[in-house]
Amino acid sequence: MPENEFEKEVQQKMAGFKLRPNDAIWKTVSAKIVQQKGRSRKVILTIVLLCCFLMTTLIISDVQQKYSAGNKTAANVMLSNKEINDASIKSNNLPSGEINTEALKNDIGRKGDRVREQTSDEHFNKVQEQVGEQEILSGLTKPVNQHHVIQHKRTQYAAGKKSVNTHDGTADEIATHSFSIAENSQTELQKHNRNEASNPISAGNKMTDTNIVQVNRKVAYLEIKPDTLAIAVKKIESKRKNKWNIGIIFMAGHSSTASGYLASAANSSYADYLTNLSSSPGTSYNSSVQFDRLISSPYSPTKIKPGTGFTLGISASKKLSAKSNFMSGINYKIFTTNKAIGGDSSLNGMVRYGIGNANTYHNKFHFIEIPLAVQIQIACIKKRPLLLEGGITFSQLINVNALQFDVNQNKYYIDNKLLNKTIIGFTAGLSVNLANKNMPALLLGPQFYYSATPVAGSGLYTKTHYSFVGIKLQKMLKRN
Amino acid sequence: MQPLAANVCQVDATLMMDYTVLVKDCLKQKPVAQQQLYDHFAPSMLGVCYRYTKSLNDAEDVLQEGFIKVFVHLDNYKFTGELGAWIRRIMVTTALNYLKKNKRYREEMVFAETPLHPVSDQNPVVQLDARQLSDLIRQLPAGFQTIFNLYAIEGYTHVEIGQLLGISDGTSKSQYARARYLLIEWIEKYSSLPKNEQYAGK
Repeated sequence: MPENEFEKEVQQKMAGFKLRPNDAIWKTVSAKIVQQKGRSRKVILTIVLLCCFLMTTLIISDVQQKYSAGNKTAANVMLSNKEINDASIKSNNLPSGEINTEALKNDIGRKGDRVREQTSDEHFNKVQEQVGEQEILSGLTKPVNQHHVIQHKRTQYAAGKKSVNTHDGTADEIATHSFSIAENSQTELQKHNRNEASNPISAGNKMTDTNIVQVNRKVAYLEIKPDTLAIAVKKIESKRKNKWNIGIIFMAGHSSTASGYLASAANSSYADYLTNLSSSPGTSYNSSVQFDRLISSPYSPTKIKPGTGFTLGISASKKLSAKSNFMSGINYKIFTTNKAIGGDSSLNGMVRYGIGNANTYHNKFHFIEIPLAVQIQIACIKKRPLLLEGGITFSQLINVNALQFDVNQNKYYIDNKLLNKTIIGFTAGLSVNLANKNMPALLLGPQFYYSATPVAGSGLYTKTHYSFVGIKLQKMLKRN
Repeated sequence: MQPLAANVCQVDATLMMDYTVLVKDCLKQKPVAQQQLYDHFAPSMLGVCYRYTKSLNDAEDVLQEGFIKVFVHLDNYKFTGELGAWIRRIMVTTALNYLKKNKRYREEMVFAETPLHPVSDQNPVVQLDARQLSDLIRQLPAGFQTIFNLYAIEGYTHVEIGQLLGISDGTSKSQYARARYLLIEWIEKYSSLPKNEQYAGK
C-alpha cells in the first residue's frame, strides 16, 4: 500500500459522516442571529442619533450666534443714526460758512468727557485713510456748507466705526482696548484745545476752512464712536449665552413597568396580563377558551415588583434666556424590576424558569437615551434658584433579559423580540441649585419619567409602560 | 494529500447556483433561506465538530457557535470557493477556539515534543464505519486528536498546524506520528474483537 493510504482511507470514511443535530440548536442559532442583527441596528441607530444630536447642537449654536450678532449690529446702527441726527440738528442751527468756535469747543469737551475712552489716534488715522484727505479738502474749495461737511464726514466715519464694532478679539481685549483709547482720547482733546487756543483765528469767532474741517472731523468722530465698554459687556454676555455648558448627570430611584396611565408601580399583575391577553386581538391567546383556561389555571405568573433604576450621562445645557435653559445630552440608563420565579429548567442554552417563589429574577433593561428638556427658573429659595424641568426623551433599548410567560407550558422564558426597542418618554422634575453664585451649578431634585411607548407590543408586558421616580444630581462643569 | 473538503463537497454547477441564491437570500436575512442552509450543512458539520470534541454536547455547542459565525460573517463569503469548505473552515477554527477556551481540553492539550515514541509505517485497511472510526479518534488524547484531525482528515500541513496551535512543525509531526501509531493499534485491536464486544466509547 502506498504512503498515506491510511490517511486517504480515513478521509474517505469521514467524508460521509453525518450526525443529526438537536433541534434546539437551530432555535438558538436563529435567535442569536436576530440578536446580532438587532445589535448592528442598535449601533447604526445610536450613531445616527448621535449625528442628529450633534447636527442639532451645531444648528442651534449657529442660529443663536447669528441672532446675537444681528441684534448687536442693529443696536449699533441705531446708536450711530441717533448721534448723527443729534449732530445734524445742532449744525443746522449754525449759519452757513461760519461756526461758533466756543460752542464747538464746549461740544467737543462734553463729548470728550462722555466718551473719554472712545478715541484713539491709531483708529482715527485709519478712518482718515479710508475717507481720504483729498476728498475732504476738495469739498472745501466750494463755499463751506457746514451741514454738508458734517454729514459727509459722519457717514464716512460711521463706515469706519464698523471696524471697531466687529472687532473679533475677546471681551478682555475689548476692555483693555477701551481703557487705552480712553487715555488717547484725553490727550487728543487736550492737544486739540491747546492748538485752538494758540490759533489767532480760532481765538476770534472766525475759523479757516481747514480748521473747520478738522474740528468737524473731531466732533463727528467723537459723536459716532459707540460705547465700547457697553459692547464689551454685551459681547461677554452673548458669549456666555451662546456657549454650551457641559455637565454630568446621575439619577437613582425606583423603576418599574407600570400598567396603564400612571398606575401604581409594579401592578403589572397576572390579572392585568390576562386582561391584556383577552383584549389583544393580535395575540395568540385571545380566544375565550384560552382565557378561561388561563383563569382556571392554578399556575399564574407572579407580580412584577419595582426595582432600582440608575442613569448616568453627560448633559449639555444652553441659556435660552435669563431664566431658562435648554438641556440635552446622552445618558446610559438601566431599569430593573424583580420577579419571583421557580426553579431553573433551562435547556440547551434556552432560559426557562418555572412558576414559584423560590428565587428572585431581576429583569434588567439597558437603554441609551437622548433627553431634550427645558429648565425654567420658577422661584428662588434662600437665594438658590428653583428650576422646573420638563422634556422628552428618546431611548433605545440596547440590552434586556426580561422574562416572558409561556401560558402553554407555564414557564418563564426570554423573548426580546416582543419588546419595543425605541421608547419615547416624558420627563419632569424640580431641582435646586446648591452651588454658590460664582460656582458651577450643582442641581439636586426629584425626577419623574414615564414612557409613552409601551414596554412591549405583546406578551407579559403588553400595555405596560416604563416609569421612574428618583433623585437627580446634575453637576455643571462651568458657571452659566 | 488531497484536502477532505475537496472530496466532501463535490457539487455540480446547478447546486452551486442554488448555493449562490441561498447565500444571497441569507444575506437578505430571510429566515427560510437561513434554515435551509443550516439544514443542509448542519449534519456534516456536526460530524466535523464531533471529531474534535469529547462529547456530543460539546460538539453541538461548537456547531451552534460555528453557525452563528457563519451567518454573521456570511457577507465575507466571496462565492469563488466551495461554500461547504468555507463553512467547514469556520467550524474547524471554532472547534480549535473552543478547545483552547475550555479548561478541560486545555489541560489535556499539552504538545510536548517526545522524541522517543513508537511509530508505525503500517497502512491497515480500515474496516470500521465512520462513527466507529470517529469514536476511536475521540479517544485519543486531546492534543493527538486535534493534530490527527487537522493533518489526516482536513489536510493541513504540519507548518499550518504549527501556526494554528502555536507549536513547531516538528512537534506537530511527532505528535501526529504518535497519534497515528495509537490509532492504528486501536483499529487493529478493535477490528479483531467480535462484534458484540466492540465499543469505542462515546
